[in-house]
Amino acid sequence: MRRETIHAWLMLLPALVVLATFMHVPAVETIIASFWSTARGARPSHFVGLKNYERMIADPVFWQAMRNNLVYALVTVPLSMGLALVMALLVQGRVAGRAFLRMAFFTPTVLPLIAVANIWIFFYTPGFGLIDQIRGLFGLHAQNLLGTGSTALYAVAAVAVWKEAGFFMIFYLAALQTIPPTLIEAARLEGASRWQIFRRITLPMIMPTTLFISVNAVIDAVRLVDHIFQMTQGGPDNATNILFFYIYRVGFQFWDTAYAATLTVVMIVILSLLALGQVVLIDRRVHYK
Amino acid sequence: MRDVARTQTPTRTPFAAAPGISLRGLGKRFSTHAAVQDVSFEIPAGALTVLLGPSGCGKSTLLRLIAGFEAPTAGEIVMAGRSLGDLPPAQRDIAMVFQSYALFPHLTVAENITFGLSVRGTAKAEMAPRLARVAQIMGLETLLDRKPAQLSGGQQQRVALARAVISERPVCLMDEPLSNLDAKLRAEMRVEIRALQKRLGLTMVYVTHDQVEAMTMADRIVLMNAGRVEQEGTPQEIYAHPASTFAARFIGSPPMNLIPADRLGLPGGAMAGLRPEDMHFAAAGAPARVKSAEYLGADLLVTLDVAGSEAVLRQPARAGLPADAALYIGWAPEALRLFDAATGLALAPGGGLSQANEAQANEAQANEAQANEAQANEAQANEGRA
Ligand SMILES: Nc1ncnc2c1ncn2[C@@H]1O[C@H](COP(=O)(O)OP(=O)(O)OP(=O)(O)O)[C@@H](O)[C@H]1O
Ligand SMILES: [Mg+2]
Repeated sequence: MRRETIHAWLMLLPALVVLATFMHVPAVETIIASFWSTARGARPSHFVGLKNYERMIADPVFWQAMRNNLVYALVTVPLSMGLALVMALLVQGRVAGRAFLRMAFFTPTVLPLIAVANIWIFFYTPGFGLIDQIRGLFGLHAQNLLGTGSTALYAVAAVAVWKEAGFFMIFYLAALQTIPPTLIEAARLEGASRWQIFRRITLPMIMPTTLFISVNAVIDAVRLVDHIFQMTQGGPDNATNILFFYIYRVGFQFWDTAYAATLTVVMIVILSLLALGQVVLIDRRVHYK
Repeated sequence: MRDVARTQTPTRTPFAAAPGISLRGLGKRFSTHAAVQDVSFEIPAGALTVLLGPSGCGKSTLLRLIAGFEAPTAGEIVMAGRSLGDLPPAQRDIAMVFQSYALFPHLTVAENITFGLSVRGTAKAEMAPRLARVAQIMGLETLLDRKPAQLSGGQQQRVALARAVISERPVCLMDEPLSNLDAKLRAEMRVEIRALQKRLGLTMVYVTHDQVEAMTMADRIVLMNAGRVEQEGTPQEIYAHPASTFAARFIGSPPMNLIPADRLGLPGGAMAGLRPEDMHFAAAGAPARVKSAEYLGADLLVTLDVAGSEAVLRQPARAGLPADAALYIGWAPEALRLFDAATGLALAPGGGLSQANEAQANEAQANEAQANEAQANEAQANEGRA
């Protein structure tokens, strides 16, 4: 028994070392750093207690970044998941050109987000971008979607949705393949409509996948900021400044590492709570075989 | 359900009078090959018709055509005097039990059984008593809150059956419903399904590749081979008068012995068919040699070498094996069946084609004279029997 325990620990060791070095230790260091001040020139870092947190609560940009992030998540999570499911349902059946459609839907996933951002900058370019050209066909005037405070956040959210939906579609496709066709036939024979079959059989049976995807989508709603660097730099007037982007700014543009650590702790706490909540909440409604 | 056979509830069942179904020239081609070809037969109302045949002969395809999951590429299906055309499955008034049961894994037993009622918008007040009644018939009362994964194979089978029964649809299709059960449970469920079918007066089409299941349950058997109907009739008819060597070998366990007629001292050119129980050891007749014997308790199966072809003889075990290894076998002359050596089709005692093959003979475009002769022979044969 003891030997087995030692063996088990030995086998876990490599993974543990890597995880600890690159994740657990930095995480703990971040938490510690959030209670200390940023070292500046002659003044070395010193313990400040909750000062950084007090500053954060008083910081209007932090609150705007939180609000922006909430909107960003509320747009990207349901939209990317919904779109993924719709696309998966579209290409799972016997559609002409199924392979081509699948590939087309999946392509955005393969592209780096930076490249995607470039494509969308072209779409959004005021005057001669794709969107304005189409608007022009209907006699609508040009519009600067990225440069306008009220639309910029939605404009960058659209890019994330476009990028993510294809990736999530793959998971939904895999889940749909595992539903035995006889279940659908049995339901059809009973007189269930397409909608009833979807609502009462397909949807519950892909619930584990939905849970998995939703956790990922929420994490991505916090994590996916690459395109913001390229498209808006958080502007105009912080309209597209979301938490992660703000952390980068504070940490690597203002070099206020202690405050960045404080913001990071908040982000990690929020993410952990969300993941926990999703697992507990949806778990009750999920059917596992 | 155990008590279906006994609790003969005197009340009328709520089922509509079960209709019969006719299949007329039915065919189904998949892209590369035909799964079902020119199938025509009657499925009598209120009876249990078994579709029997080896794996891949098109039984499931035929059932799916009747259910409406597949569209035929030829022919039509007529139910209650109405051609079903491309009527969707739900509107055919047909219930079905799938081989894999097709239970919804995320729903409880009760929800599984009432799924159909619920999607069709049946009132809760009506649903509850129907569920209670069906659950009682099937012996599922204590399992209603479980998920399918928490049930044994036999219990899952009952749930699938309950789902078909609660719909109160007069026609029930079953695709190898017992193939996932062990032998003992299979034997029990056979009896129960048959009792249920009789009690509710269902028109049932039952697919199996197990000839024992077919023989014990069927009112009528439709024997299929390579997408075509090989023979149809009551179990007795098919057992006693197989229409072809295929039918002779498929039905019966062990199957009918097929021996070139000349080796039995009969006029050559034909295949002689003899059921194992119709042969006996004799003082004279066809010479044979005992190769091995299999003891079954009541019976003894003796494998013989009859002038170079193998045959199995069945006799009461207490009769014992003859002491001499080289001996003779005899048979009841009226039990002897003859088959055309080339086509495998049964020959009437007079030498022509027998009744069951008449259709096939016509189809094979046998010349008219021959067909007439066959009919004449058949008439003679019928007179002879009468
Ligand atoms: N969707 C399909 N596409 C192409 N061929 C098919 C399809 N379904 C069935 N077949 C073919 O049709 C033939 C008959 O199949 P079917 O499933 O009806 O056989 P079966 O008699 O039910 O066999 P089993 O006893 O193994 O279930 C087989 O050769 C099968 O490969
Ligand atoms: Mg089959």
